[in-house]
Amino acid sequence: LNVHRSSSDSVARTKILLLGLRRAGKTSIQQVLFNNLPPKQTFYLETTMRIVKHHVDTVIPLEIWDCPANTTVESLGAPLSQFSTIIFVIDIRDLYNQPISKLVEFIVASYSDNPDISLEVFVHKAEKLQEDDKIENFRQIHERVSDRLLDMSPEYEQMQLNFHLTSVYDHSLHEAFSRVLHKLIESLPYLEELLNVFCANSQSPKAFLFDTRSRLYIATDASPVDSATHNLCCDYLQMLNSFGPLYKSITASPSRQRLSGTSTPNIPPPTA
Amino acid sequence: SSTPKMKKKVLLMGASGSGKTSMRSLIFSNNPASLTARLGATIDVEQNHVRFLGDLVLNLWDCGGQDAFMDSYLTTQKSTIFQQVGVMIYVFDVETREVGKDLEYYRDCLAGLQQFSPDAAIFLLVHKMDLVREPRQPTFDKKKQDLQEASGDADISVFGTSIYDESLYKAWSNIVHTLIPNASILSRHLATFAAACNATEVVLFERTTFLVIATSSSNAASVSETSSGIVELDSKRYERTSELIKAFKHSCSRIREEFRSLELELYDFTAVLDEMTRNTYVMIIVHDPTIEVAALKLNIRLARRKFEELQSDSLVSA
Ligand SMILES: Nc1nc2c(ncn2[C@@H]2O[C@H](COP(=O)(O)OP(=O)(O)OP(=O)(O)O)[C@@H](O)[C@H]2O)c(=O)[nH]1
Ligand SMILES: Nc1nc2c(ncn2[C@@H]2O[C@H](COP(=O)(O)OP(=O)(O)O)[C@@H](O)[C@H]2O)c(=O)[nH]1
Ligand SMILES: [Mg+2]
Repeated sequence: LNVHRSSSDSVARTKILLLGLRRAGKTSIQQVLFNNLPPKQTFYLETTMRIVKHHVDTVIPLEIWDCPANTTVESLGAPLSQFSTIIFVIDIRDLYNQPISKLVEFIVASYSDNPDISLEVFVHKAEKLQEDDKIENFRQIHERVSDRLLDMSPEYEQMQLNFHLTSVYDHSLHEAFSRVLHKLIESLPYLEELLNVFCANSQSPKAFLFDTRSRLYIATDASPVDSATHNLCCDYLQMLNSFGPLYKSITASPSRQRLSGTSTPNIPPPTA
Repeated sequence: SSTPKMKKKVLLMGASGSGKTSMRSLIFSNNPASLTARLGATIDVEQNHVRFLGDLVLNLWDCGGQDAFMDSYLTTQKSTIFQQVGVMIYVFDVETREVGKDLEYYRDCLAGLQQFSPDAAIFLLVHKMDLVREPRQPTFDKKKQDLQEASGDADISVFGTSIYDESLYKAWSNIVHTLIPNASILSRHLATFAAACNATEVVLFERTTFLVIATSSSNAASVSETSSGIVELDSKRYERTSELIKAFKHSCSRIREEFRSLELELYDFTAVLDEMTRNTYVMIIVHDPTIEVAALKLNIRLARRKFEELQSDSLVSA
């Protein structure tokens, strides 16, 4: 993994690039995931004019670079080799060449500078379209990117690209970002194995290990993730996070404080 | 049950599009706010019987607010509409462009109510507050004053509401409170129950609406001292809890799971939410770390019978 210490704080942070055209939804994604911004409020976000680096402490310390639309490989100010992941955000209704050219530009540069980088494409604002159009646009964007790469050189086929349908208005964004995060967690195989053992011994149909604050899941057992169950877990955590402050303790005894940042709600967590 | 049913007529009135049917569908049908955009205008009066507490049945009259309907409520249908009313809820769209007409219809309805049901409680909801720019308080205060002036010497309660936040639960909890005459007895017993559990607070909710029926604390003081320290209680905690649980119930129904009970062990408190009686849920908030969840659940089981009795008493003696 490409983990670099920056001078301002002493922890090693995994760097993630957030790229895409103007108003694609990059800042919204960052704010909804890590700053608890209500999705409706993203409407008031202003255009990002220069690169903003956000430090985020999930299970691993992250540094997310929210980039303005005109960012190029040259103007980035850091070599691509420093980044673990590129997340490229495309508005699902934007089927034109511009975003795809921009994406391809970064893929090509990554191929020479950092072939191990994870390339993630968030086909965003998906809730705006009906199911059929959603699938069709998703497929077209995927196909156009592949075609463009293949036109340039067959060797780019080696670059593994992952496509996700996302929206700030539902939990698809959390699910997609969780999957991005998994590739960065070195201990993932052990965590997954622990959850497998947990499910087998407790006869739980499913287990997720969640970061409660960001509502991202860090690992899950080997059984497939069903979105409905994942959504319920996210809803549950949302309720948990909102419920806590209502009955806050100012001088709680230390013994009271038995839960820390993460917990493992196994399914079904809330129904008895 | 053999005890006689107690029916209370609740009038829901206000201009077309003010949000009457939306709030009804949120409170009584567990629908999310986002679905209300699909509602069509209500034609004439939609009557609904909602089984509330025990034998209390709310007879909701959702009165379509288009002018033609309003005119007929105030003339040919006048006695039908306004007789035997327990509560009238009048909804005002805060952003309406027809303030004058709104107030005129309201005054006429008020007169009709005073003629046929002089004892009815009156609630005025300044609705869609979410559309008002911050700070919202001055806008609300101004509206409230206008409404007070338009009401003459009638005894009214005014609330600012929105289907997008907890304010709706606060208003409706207050409304149903006037329909449960002996709520204070329930409150007293809840206080006893809270002491037995060493709880910071105990809250009783109606089962389907999750409206607050009674709480263990007589005042909604926002700071309380317990054996384990000073606890700061959010002043909106009751309505926020209603809103959160309702939203979560809806999430459960989406995967066809029935919501039954909750046990939350948070950083500095434990909350247990479980069925108390056939029509109610109880929530116990405990800050004392030595109290086990299982003990709380046992206490709830032991208290059930007493509360079933209290609940039917409080309605029969009304
Ligand atoms: N922004 C906002 N919109 C709301 C609120 N409550 C209701 N609405 C919207 O207002 C519109 C009209 O709501 P209805 O509930 O059908 O209005 P109504 O009072 O029943 O109207 P009639 O049946 O014609 O009398 C719907 O599109 C709702 O989504 C609110 O609190 N805030
Ligand atoms: N419908 C919809 N709109 C979104 C979504 N995400 C962001 N937006 C909107 O897209 C616009 C641009 O978002 P912003 O984050 O500023 O884009 P950026 O320029 O890429 O940082 C804002 O008006 C957001 O409200 C989404 O998932 N669905
Ligand atoms: Mg209606």
